[in-house]
Amino acid sequence: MPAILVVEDSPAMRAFVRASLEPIESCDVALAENGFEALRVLPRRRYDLIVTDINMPDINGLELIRFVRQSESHRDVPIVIISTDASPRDRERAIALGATDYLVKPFSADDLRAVVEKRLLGARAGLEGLP
Amino acid sequence: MTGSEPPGARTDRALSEFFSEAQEIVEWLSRDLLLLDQCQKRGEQDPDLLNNVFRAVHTLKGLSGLFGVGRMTSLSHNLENVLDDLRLGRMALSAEVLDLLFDSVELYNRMLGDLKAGVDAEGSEVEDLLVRLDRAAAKKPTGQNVTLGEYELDAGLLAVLTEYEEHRLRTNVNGGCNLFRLCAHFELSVIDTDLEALKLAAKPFGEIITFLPSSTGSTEDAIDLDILLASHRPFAEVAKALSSDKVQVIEVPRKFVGRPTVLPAPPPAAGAPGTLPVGAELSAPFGEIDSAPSFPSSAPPGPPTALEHVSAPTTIRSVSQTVRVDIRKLDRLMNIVGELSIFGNAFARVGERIRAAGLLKELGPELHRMNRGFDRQLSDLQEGILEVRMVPLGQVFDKLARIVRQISREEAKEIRFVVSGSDTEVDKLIVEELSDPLMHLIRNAIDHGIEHSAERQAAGKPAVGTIALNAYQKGSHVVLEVEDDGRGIDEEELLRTAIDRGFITVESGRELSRRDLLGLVFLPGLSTKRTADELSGRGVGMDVVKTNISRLGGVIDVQSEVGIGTKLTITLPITLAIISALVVEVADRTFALALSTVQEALPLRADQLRTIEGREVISLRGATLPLCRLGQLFGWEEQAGPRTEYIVVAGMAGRRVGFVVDRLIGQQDIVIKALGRSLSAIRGLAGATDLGADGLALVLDVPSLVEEVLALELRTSEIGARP
Amino acid sequence: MSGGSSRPSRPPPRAPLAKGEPGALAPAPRTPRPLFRGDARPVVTIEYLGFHLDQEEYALPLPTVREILKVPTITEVPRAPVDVLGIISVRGTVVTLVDLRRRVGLPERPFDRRTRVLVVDRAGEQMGLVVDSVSEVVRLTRAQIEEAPAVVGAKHAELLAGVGRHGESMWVLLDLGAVLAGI
Repeated sequence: MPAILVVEDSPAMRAFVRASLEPIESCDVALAENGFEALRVLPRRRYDLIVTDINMPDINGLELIRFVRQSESHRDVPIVIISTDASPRDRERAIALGATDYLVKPFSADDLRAVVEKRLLGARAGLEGLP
Repeated sequence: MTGSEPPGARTDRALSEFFSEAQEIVEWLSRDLLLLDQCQKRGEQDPDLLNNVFRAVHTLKGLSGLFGVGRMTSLSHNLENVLDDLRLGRMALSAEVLDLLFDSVELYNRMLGDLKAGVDAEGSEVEDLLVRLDRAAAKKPTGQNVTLGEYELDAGLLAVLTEYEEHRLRTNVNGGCNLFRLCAHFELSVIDTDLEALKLAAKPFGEIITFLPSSTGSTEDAIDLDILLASHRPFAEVAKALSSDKVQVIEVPRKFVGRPTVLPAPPPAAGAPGTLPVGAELSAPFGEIDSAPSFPSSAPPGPPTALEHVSAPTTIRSVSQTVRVDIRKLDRLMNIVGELSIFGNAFARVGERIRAAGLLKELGPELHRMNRGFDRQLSDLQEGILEVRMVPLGQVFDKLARIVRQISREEAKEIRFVVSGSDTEVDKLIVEELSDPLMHLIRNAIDHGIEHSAERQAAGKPAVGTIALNAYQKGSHVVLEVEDDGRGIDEEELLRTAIDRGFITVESGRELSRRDLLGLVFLPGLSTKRTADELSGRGVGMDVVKTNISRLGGVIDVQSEVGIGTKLTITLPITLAIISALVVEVADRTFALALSTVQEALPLRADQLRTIEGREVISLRGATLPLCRLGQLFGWEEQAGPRTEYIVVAGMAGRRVGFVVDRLIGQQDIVIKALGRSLSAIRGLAGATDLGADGLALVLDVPSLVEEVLALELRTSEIGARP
Repeated sequence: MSGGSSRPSRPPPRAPLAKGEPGALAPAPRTPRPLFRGDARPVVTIEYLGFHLDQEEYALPLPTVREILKVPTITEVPRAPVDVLGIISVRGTVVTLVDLRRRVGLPERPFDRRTRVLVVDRAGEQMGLVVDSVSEVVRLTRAQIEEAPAVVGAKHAELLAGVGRHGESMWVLLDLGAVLAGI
């Protein structure tokens, strides 16, 4: 059963992302409301994919990507960024740090699900990171 | 695992989540703008605040986009650009720009209101605001000529800074700050507390640019963090204050100074963890009401705090501990409690009957005990729910501060708005209902109370006027005072107007006490806008304010001295939902009266009854008490024929009436429920309550009925007095 | 960007219907000015709740009716608008009860065992409407809904949303917003 971690500080956005992802067959969606909570849950189990916002207080999404990419347990998981188009520079940095996809808010539930499903399939086939 | 609801943002639950979050963000936005305004007035800058405002708008943009609220997305998108320029220092924050940002708060509120009401309003207001913002915004040249290369910063660290964080870093370095790396090792289980403590301790020293978690050295239970701090203070000072067994302070070396990167050892035993100077920045001086008029009997506990100093608790922002609840859900729970208490009463009655009939000798007492236990638990539950409904008055106060700012600018009057007791809690419903009356009072204080500064100075007063808003708890009541040091109310003039308009006769005017004279201000139609200036004091619909307060079960009182100021005091119950009531029967109908308004109940004796000018009165211990027959007042037929009647003496503050009733049913706690929209404006009714098998009973609004009866009294006595 | 955000294609537009009235339904009598023409519109049926007032059949859109109750104990409210009968308690909520007969200008009549209260929603507030009896759920297509002829209750024409016809039957369709306006 694939497990997805969603890191997002806006409750409504979290609820939306969760509702968007739950129809994916037998998938387990975990929610973290900030970077620290993500750090707390990451070592506990293996997630197959991470969805994260960039602009969050304290630990931002970029820092989280770097952390994940350096970690033993999750260095290879796909990371999908969800963020508004405030800063193209932040977006380039996210990709440079190893984010796999970047969705610009607002996006539709279908958009998000399509990206995540493709990544999950790719990960299973050992094709992670490839477009 | 499949979701129980369809994927998509437009489910009802998601939508209501959207509303409550958007509402909350707009509230924070408003609060932060007020604080920003204070900063700006003091000529200070607070990058954190500005960034909060940016983040609020940023989140609103994302949210409204998801929920297809196009108008709000477009407003947020454009505001975000402006705020981004502001926070990145590409634009200066002027009073004009702030005005427009405040306008955007109003616009957000309007949009949310429209959405909630299902109104699909189209308007050019977004465009108008943006055009004005564009005009007001003076772009600054970006003077980002600092090379961060001067510092030996880890390239990995630089790569993960967001654009904003990088800007803050540059600005700080530009301003001559030193950079420090705080290497922290925190247990994941207590990271929130440790981090908050560190943030608080670091705040007086400078600005934290970012928190970088490092995976090396992190384990399953603990984590290494690299925290970048910019500070003007020297290394030794920072290291001394912030080092602990969990935190090591390292100076980020400059490249060309050639200082070796030797890590100083942590200062000798930084003491037990938790000795951080947490209170350091809290010792800011409190504002005082130096020029506010002082009246006797006003004793708000604790020092009053000027609004500009409310900024301390920025750290309570850890939303994780709070749950937002739709007030309707609490109403539903309250309804259930109400129904349960009806069952409880029914059990008690059955128990009584069993006991009275001498049945089930052993089981009777047991039933009684169980019933007592049930009652106790139920009242705990009730209390718990009521507690959840309590919110701090600060919510309204912030709104009012915005209004003061707006009106005082419109009227070109300088006003200091001093607030105390904003953490006083009352029922959410009361807070909602209170905001309009308070707004009225404050608007009046600015419009008609506070003089222009020239006039003030001529009168030997400080040029800046003061409006103080104090809240405090007094027993089971909350007291709110709106106090200004303006020109006060001229009673003589008030009396003249009341006589001119035929509200009272010259004769009855002569008999009025000072307090009664000031009370004339609440007469409907007396203080209309037209005459507001003539009255040289209060104006706009004071009668409406009084009605609203009375509907909440409260009273309003006015004190004033010409040339010194005016103080309005509102006394309200803390919670609306449950009151002790006296249940009575009149003309075959059941009514409830708040017990707090009832002074006594006694049988009506024929020899006490007199008729003066066609109206019934009784003499009660030497005083004359007007009587009120609800049947007559409401146009219902009353029972004919001789019968025992009772008088319920009710009222407040010396204004009393005897209500004639057919039966005293008893005293009980009732849950007051609001009447529907078409009935809520009916004078004399406060709501309804469910009495179980007996159906609904109306709850009388005693203060307004008393006023009505006394007004009738006054009119008849005048008619009678005419030759 | 490394791709991925492929939008699912939109469903193809619905095939336009054949010109003329939708065939499967009972032939509706032609009126000079139908409110909606059947051509080129998908057949949408709207469900109405039919009920009686006096000799007439009335109807309200079904989704606007939350529930149907027998008449509970009514508490009279003094100084209320003239068409308000009083208040009732519906599962702990206070509901304002409107006499629909009075509202549409019909004479009063005592309640009987068939009298019902329709609980409807007005912008979040529940209101009760007293009707003589409830008959059935009616499905009407747009084509079966006509503008109200001016004769029907001339005084209360503003309360009507139209007239629905199905075979021999006819329903006076009420505009809930107008019915509750001013109450």
